[in-house]
Amino acid sequence: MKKDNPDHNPLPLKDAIRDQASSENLVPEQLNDLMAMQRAVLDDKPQPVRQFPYWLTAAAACLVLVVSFFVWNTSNEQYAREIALEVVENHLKLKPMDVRTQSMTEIQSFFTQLDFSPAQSSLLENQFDLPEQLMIGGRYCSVKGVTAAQLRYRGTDDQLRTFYEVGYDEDKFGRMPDIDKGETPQEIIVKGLKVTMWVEKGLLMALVKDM
Amino acid sequence: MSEQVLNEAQLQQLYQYAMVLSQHRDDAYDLLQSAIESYLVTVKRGSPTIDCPEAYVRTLIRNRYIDHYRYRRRWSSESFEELALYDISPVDLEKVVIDNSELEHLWAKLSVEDRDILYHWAVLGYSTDEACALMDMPRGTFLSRIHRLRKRCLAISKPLSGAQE
Repeated sequence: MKKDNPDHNPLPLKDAIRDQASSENLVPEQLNDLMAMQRAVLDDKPQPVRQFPYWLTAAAACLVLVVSFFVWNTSNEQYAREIALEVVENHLKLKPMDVRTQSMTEIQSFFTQLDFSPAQSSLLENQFDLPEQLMIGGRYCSVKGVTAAQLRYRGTDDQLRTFYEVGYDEDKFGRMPDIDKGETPQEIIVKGLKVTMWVEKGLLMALVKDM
Repeated sequence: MSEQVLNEAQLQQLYQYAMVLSQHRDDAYDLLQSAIESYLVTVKRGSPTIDCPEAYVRTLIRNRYIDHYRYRRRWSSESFEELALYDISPVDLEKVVIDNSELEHLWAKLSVEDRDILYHWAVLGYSTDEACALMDMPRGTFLSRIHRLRKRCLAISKPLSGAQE
């Protein structure tokens, strides 16, 4: 395919490059194949319903999005309800406490079997008016099979509240509002009790109190 | 649709461009074929009108080659603007004379980017500004490449000219 170029006469660079570039050519079979390929596609009539698949694709994509969101939302609600039911059952059973104290430091030193360290919740103190001094003790419990801490508070109205802390794992507990990100805690009413749940300091926290 | 069909002369020129980049006949044909397939799909979809199919396919070839080349080695991606000013008036390159066999020897040693530049300059007749815009290459990079190219070409052509004298 290369042109025979026996002469060694110097040429302007531009001409030499043109010669160099044009020295390579498609063989007739390749050329025919490419021409046939083009004709086969371009000689076909254009598809009249070209817009329909786009519309259908967009509608299908929207549907998938809506269904995915619905499934995601439903599964999150389901998670939240399961957790609420479990902590409410713990609240109603009111098993004996493992430790009696009003000090979070003592709570932290007592709960050594947890894979997290119990923490004082800012929300509990500020919004629910349950400072450390109103705590009366705590016990081990579990939330969805994960070992958790149940702390008990006696409010100024003399009513008992149970407060739960467990290491937060989104895969296990679903998506929960994180107050450190400015999100609002989730509230669920179960068996006549109000359960408030949120994530704070990397822990899933739940407060159960009478309505 | 006939105006959208690439004729034989255009196909030959596109193949030659693919050869300039790949320096390998099978690769060049694969590049050309896949670029045309992509072009035909675009036309068939009725996407925005392609004014110049040849230029469109040439760009497809270049992009496909860059992707492939990046995968194998790494397409040079200098983004710096060299501060030095180079005298790259077209006349300088126009003045260079070279023997075909010498060019063939040089051609194989040039980087793919340099061959691309020379092709745009010599065969497609682009100005430096147009070539920069087309190849998405910073002007400083382009100028320094031309500067180095000219030195290489002169290094070859000078002894040749001396021999002629």
